[in-house]
Amino acid sequence: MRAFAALLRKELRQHGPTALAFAGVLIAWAIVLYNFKERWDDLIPPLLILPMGFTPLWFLWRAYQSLRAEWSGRHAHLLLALPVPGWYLTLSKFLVLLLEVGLYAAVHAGAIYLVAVHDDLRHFSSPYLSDSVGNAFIRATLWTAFRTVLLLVPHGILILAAAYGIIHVSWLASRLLPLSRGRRIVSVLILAGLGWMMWRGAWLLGLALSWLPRIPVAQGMWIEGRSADALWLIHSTVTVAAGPVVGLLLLTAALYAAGSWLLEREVEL
Amino acid sequence: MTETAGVPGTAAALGDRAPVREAPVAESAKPVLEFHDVHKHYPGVDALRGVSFTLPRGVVVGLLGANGSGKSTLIKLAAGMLRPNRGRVRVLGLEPGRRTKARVAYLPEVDHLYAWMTVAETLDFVRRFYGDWQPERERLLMEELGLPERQRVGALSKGMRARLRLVLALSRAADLILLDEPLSGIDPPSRSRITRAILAAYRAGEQTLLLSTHEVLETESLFDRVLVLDRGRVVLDGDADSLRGQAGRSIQALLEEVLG
Amino acid sequence: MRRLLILTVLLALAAGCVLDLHSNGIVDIFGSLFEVLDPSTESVQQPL
Repeated sequence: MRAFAALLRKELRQHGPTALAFAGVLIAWAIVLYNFKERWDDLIPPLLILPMGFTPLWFLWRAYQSLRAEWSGRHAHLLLALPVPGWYLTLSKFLVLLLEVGLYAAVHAGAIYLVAVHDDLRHFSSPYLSDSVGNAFIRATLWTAFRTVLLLVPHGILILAAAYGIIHVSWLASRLLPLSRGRRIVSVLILAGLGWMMWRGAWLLGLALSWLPRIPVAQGMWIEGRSADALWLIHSTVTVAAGPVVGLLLLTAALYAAGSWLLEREVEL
Repeated sequence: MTETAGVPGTAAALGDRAPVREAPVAESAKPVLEFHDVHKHYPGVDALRGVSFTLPRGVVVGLLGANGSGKSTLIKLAAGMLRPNRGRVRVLGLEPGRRTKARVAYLPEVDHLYAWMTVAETLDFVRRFYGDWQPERERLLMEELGLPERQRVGALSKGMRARLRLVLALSRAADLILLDEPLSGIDPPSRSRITRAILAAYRAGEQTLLLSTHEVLETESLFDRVLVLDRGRVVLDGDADSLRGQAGRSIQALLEEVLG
Repeated sequence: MRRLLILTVLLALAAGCVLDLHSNGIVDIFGSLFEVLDPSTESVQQPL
């Protein structure tokens, strides 16, 4: 554990300052939008969401760079000489990248709430609801939204872990081939193949594990009705079959085991 | 300072699979490094062609040869950074891997340190992985080599970075120390300082040191044994004193003769 | 030998991917996972 903690700390030290700087930029962007929200009105939601669109691209780029940079900086000579399992290297890198993306997501969520939601909620009024019922409804809606986030986070982590594993293994596998050029293209081809394998594998395992109970992934709450006398509170839950999710989890674990084996036993310097 | 303090630490780092059941006598009698008919190819190049030798515990071996003779490949194979295409490499009787890495100190030819770390952070990072780390030896080496702890690695000169890499390799009570060109690119006054440091840190009789170098004049006094490679083959393997005695001249002169 | 094994696995992967794309098409392959995932919404109404 001491060795894993050392690797984690190294990754945090290496990428923490950049991540904090980016988070600062996002906060500054939110402050600008907050100050111009009256003037830019309709533009605010797309402008708020805009940086969020870059987060997945940033994740993919960082995942690709996480090993490549160790090789180009020749640090692989240090890391591969360490008496640790290969997955220590992979997992420490993934966890820190996950923290980084989590930080951006949290800043985004905070910005969206403060710029686009908070004021609207404060001035919320309904011709059908008394103030006290209205306030209770707002609280319940926010709680439902929070629960949805809690339900979605593990699924998001799983998808990111799978994407990271695919990038990681395809990069490592491309290094095993005796190529003098075209390694990047080969790496992309392996990436496509692994992506296909994970997709189809999750589908197949989903069919095989169809007996598993369904799992909730999102919740919603709203009011329907035409008059104050006939209002209905609608509480809805989105569920999915657990089979493909569990299948993806198993495949991702297998991918990390394969990556660990390649890193420890096959990759050469 | 108790140099044997690193031995239980090493066993702990190796976990349950460490060969602790064997008697210490058997462990010390076991060859530290064995190459049996090892071949290594790169695309278009035969880096090693049937290399065989055995190194016992407690010797300093000079690995000599021209550029491209296969010295770095041989060291990387022993460090577990490469795998042979044919033949067998064994470190303490084990195939190079995680277990042997806990017992081998490897100084690569390239500058592999993180520029953003300070000297102290680099030492702190590396020492956490090895149960055989010797803080006292680290302190002595730092003093001997005059390294500034608080300076960033990126701000150090090439020579100072080479010294730091040497501290990382020599601060351990590793069974096998692999130094790949530790004097490469170092100015002559610093070379003698580094050679002195190697001599001061090395524990005769306990550790096996394999040192590849072009700077034979500065280092040949260290060698107990000499292994000369030429185009992937061992062309000379012998006891350093006997070779000097037979030829009646320095290893450097002998090397020039052997390699033409 | 192990390299050959890895290369074989990679080639098998490529062949499987191409055959699957050829016989099922990318839209079906994409849709298949969502089909088995089968997302559905259950709603509960209560009078306010």
